[in-house]
Amino acid sequence: MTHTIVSASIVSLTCLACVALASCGETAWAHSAGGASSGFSSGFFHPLLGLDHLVAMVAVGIWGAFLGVPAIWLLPVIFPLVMAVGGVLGIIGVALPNVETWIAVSAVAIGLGIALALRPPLWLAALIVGAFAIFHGNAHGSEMPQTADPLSYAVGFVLATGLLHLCGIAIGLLERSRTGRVAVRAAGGIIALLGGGFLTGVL
Amino acid sequence: MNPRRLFCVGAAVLLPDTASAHEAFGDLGPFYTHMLHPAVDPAQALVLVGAGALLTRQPIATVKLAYAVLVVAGALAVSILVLVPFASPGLWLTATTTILLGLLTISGMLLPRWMVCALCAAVAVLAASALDMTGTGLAVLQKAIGGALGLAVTVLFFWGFLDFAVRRIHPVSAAVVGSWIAAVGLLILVLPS
Repeated sequence: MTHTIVSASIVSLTCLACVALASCGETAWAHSAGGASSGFSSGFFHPLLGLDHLVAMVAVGIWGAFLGVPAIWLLPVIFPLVMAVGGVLGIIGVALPNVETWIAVSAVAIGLGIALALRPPLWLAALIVGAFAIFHGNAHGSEMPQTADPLSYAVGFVLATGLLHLCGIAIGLLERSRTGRVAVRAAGGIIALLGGGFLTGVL
Repeated sequence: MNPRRLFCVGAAVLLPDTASAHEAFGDLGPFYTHMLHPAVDPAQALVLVGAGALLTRQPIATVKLAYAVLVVAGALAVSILVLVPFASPGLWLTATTTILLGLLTISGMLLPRWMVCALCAAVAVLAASALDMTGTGLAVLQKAIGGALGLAVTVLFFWGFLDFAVRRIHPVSAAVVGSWIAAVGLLILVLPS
């Protein structure tokens, strides 16, 4: 019993000491990873904080999972490669017309594909995803040269895009159960609606 | 949970700046600075990650030999760099190598053993050239050992990580990562110098 009381007191005192030390934390703020980390985080958060990019990337993963093997892996392989081509165009100053509109259209199209359970041939699905990837890449690429560290930015946004695809695949795999199938198709509908919101300027 | 502990945790949570209040790297000394160099130099890390990904797609017998070649080539390149400093060949070569490694990883082709060894040796030399080996005495020795170890550890780590993903998640995981590597290579190929 005594042992328990002593332990509790020590824990409380330790916690209080930690809180006291924590309140002095501002002075110790000292990150120094420099341009590499800021470039990486800037690139990494670009697809995550842009809701239009985010929903479209997740949609690609969901659609891939929905279409099954080999699309489940083929689409996430094709997308970054074609997106890089779009990124290259953006970096060298070739601005594609209506990029934001096409990004919104990608969310609508792929979202509808999921919601309506469309299963086009693999080549057509790859073509659709690839075409949209160019616009996503162009949007990322056109902003890249302005960042502190473009190389880290490139690594960050490609990694974030890939991880969003994997998130989409994870969601899409719910399709294996009956309830999950409904949830996945509902998610497709929501993505299409969000895309519509971006397209019309509501969002 | 004990209410007092809960209160303390709650109080700590209200001060989130604390979680960020540590030095990211600081002055680690020549050994650790060079060993951890791939963590702060994305160009160097890219080719090493690419080599790790390529090895994931090759048979284990090839991996053992190619990894040994990479370690030896890295150590030799670092040693030569100490004696004869040579300039880093530039980002275009890193980009080209990265694209090549990424595409080979996507394809999943079983390459001839000599070719995998040659690629690993080239990657080791390229990655080593990113290290700063200026200085004298013990500091240079520490830089050299740390740098060579850093190259070896980075490739081994990514090979192990991807090999785990290939075995436990899906065999095509390496191809997905290969596409990311090739995509980054393609982007940095056109980056303004």
